[in-house]
Amino acid sequence: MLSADEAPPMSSIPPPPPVVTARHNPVFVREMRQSARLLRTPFILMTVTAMTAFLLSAVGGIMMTSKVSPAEVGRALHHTFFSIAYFVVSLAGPTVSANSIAQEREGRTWEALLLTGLSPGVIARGKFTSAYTSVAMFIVSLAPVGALPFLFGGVTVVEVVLAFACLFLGAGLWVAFGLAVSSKMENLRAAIVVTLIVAVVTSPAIYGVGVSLSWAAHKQWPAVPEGWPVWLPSALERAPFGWEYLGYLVLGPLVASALPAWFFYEVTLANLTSVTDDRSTGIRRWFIVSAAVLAVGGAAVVVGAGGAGAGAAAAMAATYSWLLVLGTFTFAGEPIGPSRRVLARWEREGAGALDRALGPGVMRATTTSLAAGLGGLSLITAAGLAGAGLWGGPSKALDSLALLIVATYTAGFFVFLAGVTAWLRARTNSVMTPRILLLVTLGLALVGPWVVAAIGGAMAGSLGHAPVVAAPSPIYALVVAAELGGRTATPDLGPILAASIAAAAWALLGLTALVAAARRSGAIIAAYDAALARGDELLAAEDARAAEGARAAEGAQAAEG
Amino acid sequence: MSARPAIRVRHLWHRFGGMDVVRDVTFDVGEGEIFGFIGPNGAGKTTTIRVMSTLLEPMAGRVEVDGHDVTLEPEAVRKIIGYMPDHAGVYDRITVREYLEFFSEAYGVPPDVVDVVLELTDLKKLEERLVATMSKGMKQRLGLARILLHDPKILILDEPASDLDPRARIEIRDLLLELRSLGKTIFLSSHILTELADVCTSVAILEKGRLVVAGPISEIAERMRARGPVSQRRPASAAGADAAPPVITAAGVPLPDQAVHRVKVRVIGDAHGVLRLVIGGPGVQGAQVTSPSQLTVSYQGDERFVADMVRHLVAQGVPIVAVEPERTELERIFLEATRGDLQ
Repeated sequence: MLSADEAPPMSSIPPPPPVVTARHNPVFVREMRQSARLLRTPFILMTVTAMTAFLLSAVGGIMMTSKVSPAEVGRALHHTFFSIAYFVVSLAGPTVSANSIAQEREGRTWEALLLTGLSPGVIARGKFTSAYTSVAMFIVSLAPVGALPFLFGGVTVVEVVLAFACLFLGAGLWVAFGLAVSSKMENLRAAIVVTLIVAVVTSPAIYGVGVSLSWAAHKQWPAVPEGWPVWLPSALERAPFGWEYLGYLVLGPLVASALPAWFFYEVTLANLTSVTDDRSTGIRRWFIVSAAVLAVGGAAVVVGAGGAGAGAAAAMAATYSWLLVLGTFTFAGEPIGPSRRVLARWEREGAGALDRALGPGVMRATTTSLAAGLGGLSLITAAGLAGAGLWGGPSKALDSLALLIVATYTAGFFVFLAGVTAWLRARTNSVMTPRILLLVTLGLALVGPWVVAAIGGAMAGSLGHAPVVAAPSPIYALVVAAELGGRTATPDLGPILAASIAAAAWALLGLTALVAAARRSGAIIAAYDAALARGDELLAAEDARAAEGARAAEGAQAAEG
Repeated sequence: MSARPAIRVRHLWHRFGGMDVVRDVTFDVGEGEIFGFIGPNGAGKTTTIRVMSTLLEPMAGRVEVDGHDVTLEPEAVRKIIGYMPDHAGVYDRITVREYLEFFSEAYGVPPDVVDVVLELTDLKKLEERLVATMSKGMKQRLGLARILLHDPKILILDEPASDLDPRARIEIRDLLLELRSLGKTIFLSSHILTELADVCTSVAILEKGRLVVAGPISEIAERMRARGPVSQRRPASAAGADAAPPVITAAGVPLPDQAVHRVKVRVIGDAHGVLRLVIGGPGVQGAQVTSPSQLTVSYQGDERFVADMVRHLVAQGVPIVAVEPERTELERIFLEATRGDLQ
C-alpha cells in the first residue's frame, strides 16, 4: 500500500473522460443555441419557401393551359419541386457547414475548444448535426409545397416520402462535404467561396448523371419512367423486388452515399487533429474498406453480367481506377513517418503490426494502398475472366484479352502514380507540392501522348487504329480494349504489344520511384531518430549532473550539521 | 524534499520555415508562482506558450508541465492547464452562463462549478447577458472564468491585459492575485512591464528567440547589482571564487553592464535648494529638478546609497515626502538585460 508521501498527487489521477452522447454533444447544443438567436434564419426560410411555391404554381399554371392530364401535371410538379429542393440542399448544405469550423478558427475560439479535451470526432459530429439540422429546416419548411402535386395525382404518397428520404440522405452528404472543406480552412470567406464553387460545378453534374441513369433504370424495369430526374423513389416503389432491386436500388445508392460521407468524415477528423498526432489511420481504413466494397460490388456486377462479364469488368476496372487516383492524391499528404507522440502512444497502447501499418508514414500509406488497390483490381479482373470463361460467347478470348489489357494497364499506371507520389513526398517538405506535381504528371500522361500523336499526323485513321505513340496514355488501353471487345477475328498485335510495354514501363518507373522514396524517407527518419536520441542524451546528462550536484549539496549540509 | 517545478522548459527550439523563432530556451517555473514571460513582440513568447499548451510540438528540447511531457502526454497536460490565448475570441450569440455551461460540459465537470466560477470572477450579475454585448474587459474576465472551470493547477495567460482599459487591467491584476492565493501557478506573458511588475514573483526575458535572463526578480536584481559596472569588474578569468555568479547561462548571451540608477525625491518646498545639497555627494552621478518640488538623482551603487542620501537630507532639514526609484525593478532589469534590437 502506498504511504501518504508515495501516493500520487490528485492532479496526476486523470478524471473520468467526459460522457458525450449524441443527444448531449455540447458542441451541438451550443451551436443550436447560437443559431436560434440568428434573426435572419426565419426570413431566409420564408423567402426560399415562397419562391419555391411561386415557381411551382407558375409551372402548374402553364401546364394546365395545355392539353395535359392532371396526373401529368402532378408528376411534373413533383419532379420540379424535388429538383428545386435538391439544388437548395446542394447549395445551402455546404454553405451552412462551411461556416462552422472555419468560423471557430477565424474567431479564435478553436484553441479553447480543442484544449477542453473534446475529441475531434465529438467536435465534428456536433458540428455536423447542427449544420444538418439547419439544412433539414430548409427541407421541412419546403415540405408543404412538396405536397402540391397531390392535388393533381400522378404520384403516390410513398414516392413523395421516399423522395424526401433521398433528399435528407443527400443533404447529409452535402453537409459532410462542406464540413470537410471548412475543417481545412482558416478563413471563413475562403471556406464559403471554395465550397460554393465546388457545389455550383458538382451539383448540376450529379443531377445530370442522375437523370441519365433513369434510362438504365427504365431498361431494367420498364415501369420506371425514363428521362425524369427523381426516378429512384419511383423505382423503389414500382420495380419488382429481387436481387437486382436489392443491389441497384438499395445497396448501390447506400454505398454511393456512405463511402463519400465516410471519406468526408475522415478528412474532417484528420484536419481537426494536430499534425503530430495520427491523422492517417482513419483515412487509410476508409480506403481499404472502399477498395474492398467496390471490388466485391464490381465483381458481383461482373458475375451478374454473365456473358458480357469481361466487358463489364473492363468498365468496372476503369471506374475503380478513380478510387485509386483519389487514394493517391489523399496519401500525398502523409507525413514522412510517425511523430514521437504517435510512437509513444503505440508503445503505451501496445499497438500491433496492423495498427502500425495503418499509421502515419508515406511508405506505410503507399504499401497499404498498393496492396488494397491491386487486390481489388485483381478480384474484378478474376471475376471478369471467370465470367467470360464460363458464359462467354465466341468472342470470349478477345473479351478476356481486352479485360487483361485494361487491368494490367490500370495496375501498372497505379504503381507508377503511387511510387512517384511517395518519391515526391519524400523529397519535399510541403504536402501541396506533391499533389500539384502529381496533377501535372497525370494530366500530361493522359493527354500528352495524344497531343504528340495528333501533332505527328498519326491520328488520320479511326480510333481502332490507335497510334502506338499514344500508348503511354492510360486512355490508350481503353481504346485498344474497345477495339478488341466483341470481336472474333485475329487481332492486330501491334497495339496490344504497345499497351503491354507501356503498362510494364509505367510499373517499372513506379517501382524505381518507390525504392528511391523508401531510401529517402528511411534516411530522413533515421536522422530524426538520431537527433531525438542526441537530445535525450543531452538532457539525461544534465539530469545526472543536477542530481550529482544535489547529492553533493546534501552531503555538505549533512557534514555541516 | 526538492519541489518539482510546475513548468520545466529545457533547450527548447522551434522553427517556422527557415527561421528559428525559439532558440535553446531553458527555464523553470516554480509551483505557486506568478511567472512573468517578458519580451518584445516577435521575441518567441507565443510560440513557447503554444508549445507549453500542447498546441505545437517542440522541434528539439523538452517541455514538462507538472511532470508531464507535452509531446508524449498532451491529454494529461491539457487537463492541468488553463490556457488563454492572446486576443482569444468568444461565442457571441450565447449568454455568459450558457458559455460557461458549454465549456463545463466540454471539460466534463459538474454544472454547479459554473456558479462557483461566476462568483469567483465576479460575473454572477452578468450571467444572463449576451456575450456579444459585453465590454472587452468583461470578455477577458469571461475567458479567465472559462479556464478556471476544470480547476487547473497551472494558468497560462498570453497577453491577458492587452487592449484593456486601465480599470479592466487593474481588475484582471487583482483577480490574478486572488487566483494565486488559491494556490494556482500563473504563467503570464506580456510586453507591458507595468502589468507584470506588481504581480510577478519571477520572470524570464526573451529576445529574438533567446532567453536573456530568468529567475526571481529580487535575485536577478541582486545579481545585477553585484556584478557592478564594467570599469569596476574584474575579468572573468580573474574573478575568483567570490565573483558574483552569472544570472543565467543562456546560450552565451552575456548580461549587459550595470546601468546608472535613478531615484525620484519629492520634497515640500523648492527642489532647487535640495539639488545643491545633493550634487557632488559620494556616489552621485548627477541630479536634475524635474518639477518645482521634485528632483531625480542618478547614482551608482546599491540601496545603501539611497539610505545615506535620505539621512543626509533629513539632517539638513529637508522635508522629504517620498523617495522612489525612477523605474521599477522589473523595468530596470529589462532595460539592462535586453539590447533593444528590432525583432
